[in-house]
Amino acid sequence: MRPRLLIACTAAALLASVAAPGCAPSEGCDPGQPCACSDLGGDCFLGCAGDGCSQDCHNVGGRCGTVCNNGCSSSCHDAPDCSQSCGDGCNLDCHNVMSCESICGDGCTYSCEDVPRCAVRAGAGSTIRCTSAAECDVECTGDCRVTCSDVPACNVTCLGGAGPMSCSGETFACGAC
Amino acid sequence: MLSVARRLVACAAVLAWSRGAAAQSTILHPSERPADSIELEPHLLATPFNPPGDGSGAGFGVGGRASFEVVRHGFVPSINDSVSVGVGIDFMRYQGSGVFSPGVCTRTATGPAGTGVCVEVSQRGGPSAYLFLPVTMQWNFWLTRQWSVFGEPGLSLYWFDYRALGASPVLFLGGRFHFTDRLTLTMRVGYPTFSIGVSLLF
Repeated sequence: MRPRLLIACTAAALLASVAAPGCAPSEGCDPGQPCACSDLGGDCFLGCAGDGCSQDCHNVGGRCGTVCNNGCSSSCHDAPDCSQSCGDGCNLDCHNVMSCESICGDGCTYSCEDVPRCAVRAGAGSTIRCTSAAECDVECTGDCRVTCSDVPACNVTCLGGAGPMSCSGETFACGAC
Repeated sequence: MLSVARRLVACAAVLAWSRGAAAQSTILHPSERPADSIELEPHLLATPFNPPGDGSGAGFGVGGRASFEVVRHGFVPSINDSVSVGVGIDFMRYQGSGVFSPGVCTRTATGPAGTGVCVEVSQRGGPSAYLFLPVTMQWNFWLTRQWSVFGEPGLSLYWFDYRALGASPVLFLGGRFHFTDRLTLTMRVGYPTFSIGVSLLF
């Protein structure tokens, strides 16, 4: 009786293992290692297996994207569209594309240049720079500093929908200048 | 000189006889084996196979297995077989394929001004770490006093890059070379890993 019970249990375990999902979510670039995606006809997205990745997505025919945790750097250029998201302490750069959309956490340094439309949501202590863009939409979820150079429409929204302070001709701030 | 040669021949004969005795088949003699019920086996691991989930490439690692005899006389009454249940912990480091495949966005969040920003990516290709927790049924065949073999189907949970859990079927074929009744060299081939280790039998 006991061996039969064992066989039945083993068979059940094997059946369950076949039915169980064997997939795991994202993997991607290694922290501290340069990681690039380029020269592709379609979309390309880079992930990061931890913090501190250095990601570069460029010269693709579709959408270029990077996703990272904290302390990352990401560059995206020469693609129709760039998407960048990361946690705290990131350095994001986006240039020479049709549109840049980004979300980053606290202490973010963001640069968007030679892009018709820049859009970023950044955390407290972030520094945002938009240069030579038709439109730059910035949402700060804490204190931040925004500089728009050669940008006809620089739209800065602070926490709770409040408007920013104007610090100088090109610089705005959520919180003190 | 002749007496030395005679002594050498006699020694060789004794050795050959003792080896023959040790290699004598025990497979048709149920229970003709040490009364051990617990096996502890630290081992080294390697595999040419991609792991389950998103990892890739060949892998190396270390681990251990504990097997507990649950059926002393196995599924076939006329032969010397037994059944154990094994639990283990294996740590593996996979090298990756070296080729980062273009990742795909698996989750998008609403960004500033109604834009869509990708916040989760699935991408294969890089190095990865796995922690396997296998549970197996080990069907043993005690061939001789020096050799035993086993088949080992089961299921393994795995923890992938310290972030994600998964489950995978496992299947091993293995063999032991018995140095003594209490100590064996234990080898295993199968999926997801190959292993070589030393077993202590209690």
